[in-house]
Amino acid sequence: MISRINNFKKFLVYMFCAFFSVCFSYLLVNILFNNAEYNYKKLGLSFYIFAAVYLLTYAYIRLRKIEEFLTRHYKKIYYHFYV
Amino acid sequence: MFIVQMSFGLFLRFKPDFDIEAVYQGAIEWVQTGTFAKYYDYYYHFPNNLGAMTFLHFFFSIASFLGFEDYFLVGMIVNSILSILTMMVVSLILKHISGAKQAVFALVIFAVYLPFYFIAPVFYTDSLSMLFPVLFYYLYLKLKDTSYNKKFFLICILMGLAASIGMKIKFTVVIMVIAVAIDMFINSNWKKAISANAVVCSVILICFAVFNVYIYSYHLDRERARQDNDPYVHWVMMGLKGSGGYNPDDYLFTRSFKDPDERKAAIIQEIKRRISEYGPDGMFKFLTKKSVKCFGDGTFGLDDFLADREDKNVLHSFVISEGDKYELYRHICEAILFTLMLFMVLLALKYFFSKEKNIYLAPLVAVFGIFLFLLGWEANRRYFTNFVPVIIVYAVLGIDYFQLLVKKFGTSVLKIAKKS
Repeated sequence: MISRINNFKKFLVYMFCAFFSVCFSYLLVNILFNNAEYNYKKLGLSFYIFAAVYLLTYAYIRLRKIEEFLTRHYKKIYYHFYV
Repeated sequence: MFIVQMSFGLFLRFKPDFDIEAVYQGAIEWVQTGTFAKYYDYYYHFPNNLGAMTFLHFFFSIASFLGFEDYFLVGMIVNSILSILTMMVVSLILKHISGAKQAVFALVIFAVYLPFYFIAPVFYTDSLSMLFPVLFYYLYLKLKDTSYNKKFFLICILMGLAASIGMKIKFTVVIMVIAVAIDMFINSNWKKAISANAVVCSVILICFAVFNVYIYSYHLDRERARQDNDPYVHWVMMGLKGSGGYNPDDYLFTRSFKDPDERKAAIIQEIKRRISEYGPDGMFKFLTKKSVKCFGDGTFGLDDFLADREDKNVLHSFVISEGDKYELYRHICEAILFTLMLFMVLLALKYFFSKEKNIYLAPLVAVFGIFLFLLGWEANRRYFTNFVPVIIVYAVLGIDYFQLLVKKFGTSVLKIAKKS
């Protein structure tokens, strides 16, 4: 009985994740192609999005290479950032 | 970050107007005279801003006690500290969930997301409440690791206090409370979930009761408040016309009814009429447009406030809509927000496709909750601001999957290239 309930819970969560992805993908597509409200320049916005994705991913990859350093000096980085 | 925020804040000082004026000047008047009588009329109509005013009043009282009289600067310092605490909590959440690399990456995101540099002077409900959803979630993560003892109840009480303060400032914080409750029932055992939720709800109810008893005993008249309050359905009605945004005609409509019951009934009738006028297809198109209006601007709508100043400087050319660099600024802000939401969607897809066991459900439910709420409420680009830190938590977790997808894609492209 408990395993059935757990399986049902998991099913609900996976379906929710799928529904969430569909809704937000639809939203993102509309922000990019159907944004009369804000009137973005489509090409300009696409360029900035590409740049943001690229730069953030690049920054993340760089951080991966110094993961040990980050783990050791996390507190220092943490406090310096806020001041 | 604090130094940069405060320096920019000094350059962006403005004269608070409309709602923020009632919050700011009301708090000052309360400190100086013991009441906020000049703004009673406003708060009879908009009791939702009483929490933000009381919150500022608390800090202004401390400043006044210390002999400090530049209340705008006090508000700015409070808001800056709150936004910095938000960044700290987001980083701690990611350290707890994933590790130092992700925690530092969250700081990188805050560093490149430009509105966080200009947010200090805008001490309105959206930014004042930003800390509380993530703080509530962080405490929940701590609670998950705690066994059933005194510490467990202490964390529950702290969660209740964080939720109460957040909800008093901006009621949408309740969405995180609901999301965490759902997460608890799905991922924890029922006994723990029921007792934790019972304590959290009790603390929230007690805090709300104490606050309301105080306000309606010493400041406002309960009967007049009942007569004058704009009912919540008013904002639902407003969210169904035009682009779903602010509409002064709807205020005239609501206030044309003197009797509160009659007013509410008339608004509900109008809501039904507007929905039936759209029809299913029209409604879908309208909601699509509305969701873009709500989530399609990454500037947090700071220029709604920052433009209230006569002389402009170089920073204004970026942050206010009349500025000549504003186009560049808003495109960059939206690109970053878009990227964060893209990474968030990728994480949800990862959860779905890889059938992960360890799912951090609460932030996902919370973001979806604010999305649904804004579809039904008055549309405004500022209203999701206090959930941006939650989006950042998810975006950081999602970037790993994005990298994996890029690698897979790269490998398969290389294979195809080799074959040909």
